[in-house]
Amino acid sequence: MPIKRYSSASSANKRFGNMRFSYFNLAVSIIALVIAAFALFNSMHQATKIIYINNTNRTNQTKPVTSFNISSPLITPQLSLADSPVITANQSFGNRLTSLNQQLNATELSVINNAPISYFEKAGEMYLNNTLNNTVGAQIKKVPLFIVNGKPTVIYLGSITCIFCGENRWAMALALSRFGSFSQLYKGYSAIQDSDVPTLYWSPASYNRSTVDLGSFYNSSYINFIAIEDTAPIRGGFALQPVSVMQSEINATGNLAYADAFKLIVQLNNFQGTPYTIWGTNNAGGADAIDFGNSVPSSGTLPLEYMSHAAVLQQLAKPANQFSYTEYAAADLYIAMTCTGINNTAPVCSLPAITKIEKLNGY
Amino acid sequence: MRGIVLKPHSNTVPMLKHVLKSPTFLGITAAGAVLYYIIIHYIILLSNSGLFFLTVPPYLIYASVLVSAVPLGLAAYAARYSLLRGRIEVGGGILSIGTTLAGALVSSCGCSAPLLGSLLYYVGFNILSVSSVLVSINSYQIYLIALGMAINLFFAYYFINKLSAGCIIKGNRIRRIR
Repeated sequence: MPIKRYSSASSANKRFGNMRFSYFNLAVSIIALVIAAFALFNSMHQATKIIYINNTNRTNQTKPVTSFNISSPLITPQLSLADSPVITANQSFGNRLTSLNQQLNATELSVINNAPISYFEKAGEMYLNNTLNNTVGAQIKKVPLFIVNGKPTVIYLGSITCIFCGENRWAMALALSRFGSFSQLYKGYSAIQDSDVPTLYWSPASYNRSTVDLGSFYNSSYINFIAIEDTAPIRGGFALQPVSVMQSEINATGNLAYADAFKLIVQLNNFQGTPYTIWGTNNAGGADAIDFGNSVPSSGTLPLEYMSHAAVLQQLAKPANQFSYTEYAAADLYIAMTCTGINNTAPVCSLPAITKIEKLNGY
Repeated sequence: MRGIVLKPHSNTVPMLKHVLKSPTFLGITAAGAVLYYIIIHYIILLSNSGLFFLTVPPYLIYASVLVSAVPLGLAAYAARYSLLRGRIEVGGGILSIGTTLAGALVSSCGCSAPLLGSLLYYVGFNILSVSSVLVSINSYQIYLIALGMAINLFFAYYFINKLSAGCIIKGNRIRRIR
């Protein structure tokens, strides 16, 4: 066969033409691809676009959706589930489901229901002064009020196996307790292969199967709380059912408040995972804080992974560290979001830190 | 012969040895693997609000970045010795970075996937299809990353086979035949 030319490492530098062309093509295409990809990712990630919708079509501006204003009973869940009993075995940290589905006792519940207002104020000031180490805040989109029985509603869509939901429920419970109280809360975890962080459940969780747990034991004269918790076997890692499956299961209950709340989520057309919450007129995609302990995690090992529920509650009862103040600060943001939806009628809305946060974040 | 040749060429093993001894291949592959790891790390951080949290085994990420860098190393190798005319090098580079970015998006898909979700909404998906895609990706994360690795390995085989058919190796010297 005819030989075009010899090539070797030693003589390579003498060659131009094809080699330069190849290098140039290779480099340009890779650089262009990387830059284009990151430009796209960044623009999408950082864009905070307010989405208004009407009842049938999504548009990107101007036309607010018709507010939901319905009358419907809310769902009161069962106090315990026969197929998901309380786990009493004392298991080691990192592989722990101890006390799963156990009700908080009166003392533990009091930590959530009766948290002193001064903790919220101090945490709010720390947030405003940028003295919190952990990330606090979530991207917000404006949405219409969802009114049930004359009260605005907080809507939560989460998953028991989701680690961010697990972390987020502490702040949610603290925030909700400023507008009402829980008669029951339950001890829970995120998925056991997902750092099994200790958390609160709104109701006993169906931790052995995939379904949707609905409802909570929350009561308030200012707001409603609609809790939608997707479940999956807790030992199987994070898992989520498709939105269409969740909607079918919720519609099958025949409860108008829950069916319409989920209809609103579908209409908003921006669900990207859990937790997904709506606080009055503010829709938060994702957790309101990245708070897994007293330090910012640098790896997959999370400080909260090695904490019991008692340890978390103890820190919340007497906050003295970054973890607890971050939870209270995250709660402050949720409180501020909710206050705008109830025209600041709850006493907590007049807290200086809350009013400042409302203004600062444009809730 | 046009198209993808799957049958190994008689020159494939010597070519593979030459490739594996090439400082260009080794250097670019190693540098590419480091770069890809940084890219994956960054995308996971973006997707998890600053937390590097993996829902796939870490060794799969390491293997993935290494394998993804192989086509890049091969492309640089071919360019270094002017063994091919450019298109396949570019193809290797694009495949390499493309599978890395896809792998990063797949591996960043946990509780939420804001980057992938935004991308899907951007191209016209609605909430039902986005959630179905995210759920599917989450269910088959490990297999999808393994698929990306398999594609890269197949490309590497194809690339080396093509080089083998078009080159003669004598000792450390390599030449292209017309």
